[in-house]
Amino acid sequence: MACVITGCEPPKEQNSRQEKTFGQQEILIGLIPEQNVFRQRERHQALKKYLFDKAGITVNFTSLSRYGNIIEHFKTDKLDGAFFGSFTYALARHQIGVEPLVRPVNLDGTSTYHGYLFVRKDSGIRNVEQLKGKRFAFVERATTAGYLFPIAYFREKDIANLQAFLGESFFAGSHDASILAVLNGEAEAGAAKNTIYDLMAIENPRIEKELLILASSGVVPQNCLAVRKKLDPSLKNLLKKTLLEMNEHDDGEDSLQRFGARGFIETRDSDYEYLYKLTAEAGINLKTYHYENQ
Amino acid sequence: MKKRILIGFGALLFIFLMGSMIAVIYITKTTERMDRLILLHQVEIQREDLIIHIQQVQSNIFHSKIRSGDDVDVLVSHVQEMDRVMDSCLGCHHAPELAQGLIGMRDMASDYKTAISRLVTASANPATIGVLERRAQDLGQELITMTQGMAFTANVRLQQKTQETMATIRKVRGILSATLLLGFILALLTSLILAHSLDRRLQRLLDATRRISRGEFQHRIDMTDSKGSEFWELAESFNAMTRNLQQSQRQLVQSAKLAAVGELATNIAYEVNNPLTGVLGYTGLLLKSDDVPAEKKEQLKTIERETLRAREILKNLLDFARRKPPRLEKTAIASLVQDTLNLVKSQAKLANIKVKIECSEEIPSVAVDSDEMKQVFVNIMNNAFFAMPTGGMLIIKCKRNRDVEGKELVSVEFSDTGIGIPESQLDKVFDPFFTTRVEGERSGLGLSISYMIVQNHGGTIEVESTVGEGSTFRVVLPA
Repeated sequence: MACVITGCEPPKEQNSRQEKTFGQQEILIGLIPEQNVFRQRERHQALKKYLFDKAGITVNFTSLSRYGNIIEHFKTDKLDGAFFGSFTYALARHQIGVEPLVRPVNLDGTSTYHGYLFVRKDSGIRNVEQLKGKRFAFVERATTAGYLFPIAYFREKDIANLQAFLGESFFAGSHDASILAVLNGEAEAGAAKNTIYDLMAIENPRIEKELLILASSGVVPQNCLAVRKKLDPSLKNLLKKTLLEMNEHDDGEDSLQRFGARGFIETRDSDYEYLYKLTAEAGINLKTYHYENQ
Repeated sequence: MKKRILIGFGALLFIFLMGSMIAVIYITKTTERMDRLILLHQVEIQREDLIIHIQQVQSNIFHSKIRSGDDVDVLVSHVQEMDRVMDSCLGCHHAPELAQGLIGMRDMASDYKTAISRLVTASANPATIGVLERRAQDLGQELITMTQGMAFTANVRLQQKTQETMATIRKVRGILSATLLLGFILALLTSLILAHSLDRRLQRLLDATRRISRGEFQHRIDMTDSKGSEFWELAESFNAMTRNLQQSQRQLVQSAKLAAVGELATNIAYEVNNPLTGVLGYTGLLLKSDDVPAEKKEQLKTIERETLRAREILKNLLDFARRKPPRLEKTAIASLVQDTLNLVKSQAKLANIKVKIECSEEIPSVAVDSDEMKQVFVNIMNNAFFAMPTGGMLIIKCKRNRDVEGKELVSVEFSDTGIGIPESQLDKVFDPFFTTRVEGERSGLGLSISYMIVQNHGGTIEVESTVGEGSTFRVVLPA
């Protein structure tokens, strides 16, 4: 699986890799920690079984502890593909070149998500200005809803120097962790994607009761499955076709239910227009952006 | 005996089946308890397994590379293993309080996973990371403590169940041993009873055989078994055989006696008849002579009369010795009996004896010399009348039956209610000159002659008698 896309390998090895891909139909997919890593892994087990049963593709998932690690993994040629958050997709697209295939359709019929900026109700904060000197929980420097959106939002509100404006900030690592940090009083405000927030609100009534959403972003495509460009085209197409037709089969329906989606739809780079606008507003250069958390 | 053997084997089979059934019931009961115990041990192993997995996860958390993201998959696989073991624990049936504990443990495990995920994915200052680390550590330790607490409770229960199971095993062992011992004793007892019963009967048969071989033909096996049983039939056949043997032996002896007596009688008759002729001749001359006084003539008449009687005896002896072959003609036995009775009817009436004939017309005809056979019947009836000096009853029965070879026979039985014949005399009644009457009244040749006549007809004559009750003479002739 290792060592293929950088172009440093001799052609012989590249052929051998392609033959292996044809013969074994085995790929490694990375999972960014948008939510509890264990829960996320559970959700994706349903896809693993379905892809093997239906298309004979053996999918191995690897959980990543950082959003940014996903690009590192591609660089070291560990990964054949990944479920990208929209911001990490944009970074990967510009920094290493990945090809989007499909993205899930949410249970409510949407295939997008947006960011929330929320505070504790009992903090008395009702606008951005009141966040001055408060503790803020970001998700990750490579997330749309958990970082890009609040940065762009603060800039829109003429707050350019966040370090000076906020009393303290930290990166919770996942959207649910950010929500929990605010809920448990570890921070007065935070940011996260709406899908995780809404899902947690159903399971935990405290969220509705104790948290208040201050602002929402525009919509960006739901986490898409994108693969490295040099992945065998037939495998790429088989993977895409199998996932797109998943909701047409009974066993596919079952797997989708466990995964938490209605189905998959095709995804193109042009679907990320809003995100590119948001990165521009946030003053982020996608080619040079250093995603390491502070 | 077959019935007894069958009952014996039936009893053995019943004992065996009962023993087997008891064994199966108790073995099943014990196996079920053992299965439950094994299940509890498996659950215990699962708990230990769970603790190990939680400890592995705890170890992963504090591994330096976890937060840098290198070993997240290892951590995930350990957590998945922990979940799998916990799910299998929850999948088992448990007592309500234990189930409640397991649900609490699952909720805590969920919190633990959330804390670990937050720790692994968080990017924050060391203080915040420290808080997250402590929370995950504390939850993990709490989870281990809770699992160990449940394991302790379960261990107590396991020990209790083990003791109960061991007690059951001891009880089952005792019951099975008692069943086996009882089964063995009962089987032994049944076998001994059967063997003793068989041996007793075989000894009786062996004893009877030995006595017969010593010549005790009158010996009979006691018919103590129920009628129809194998030993009853065997005893009956054996007794019939010895009866026939006794009869044959008697007949042989009788024949030998008669032959010897016949030869002797012929010689004596010839030798004595000539002198008697002389005596009679000279006695006649003397009676006719005038020189002999009248009183002497009376004595001479006595000499003549006694000499004539002696000649009559000699004549009878010659008749006895020179038996001619019978002139056989098919004769209805019932009419032959009736004709004979007519000859002695008046004599019976005088002796106050009632004669009853039970001879059906369906009795087949027999080939006999009617005169000779009448002589036989008359001799037997005369003997019967003599045995009933104060009157009585004579019953004459005609029967048809078959011999051992299946040949048809006709028998005529004369049963009187007379004084009977002592056992010691039964063998002698057909001997020549044997009589119980006063000397001179009868010659004692009647039954001997009858015996020879019947023998010449290919038949047999036999007698059974009980002193004080009467006698039965049975003439058996081929049909």
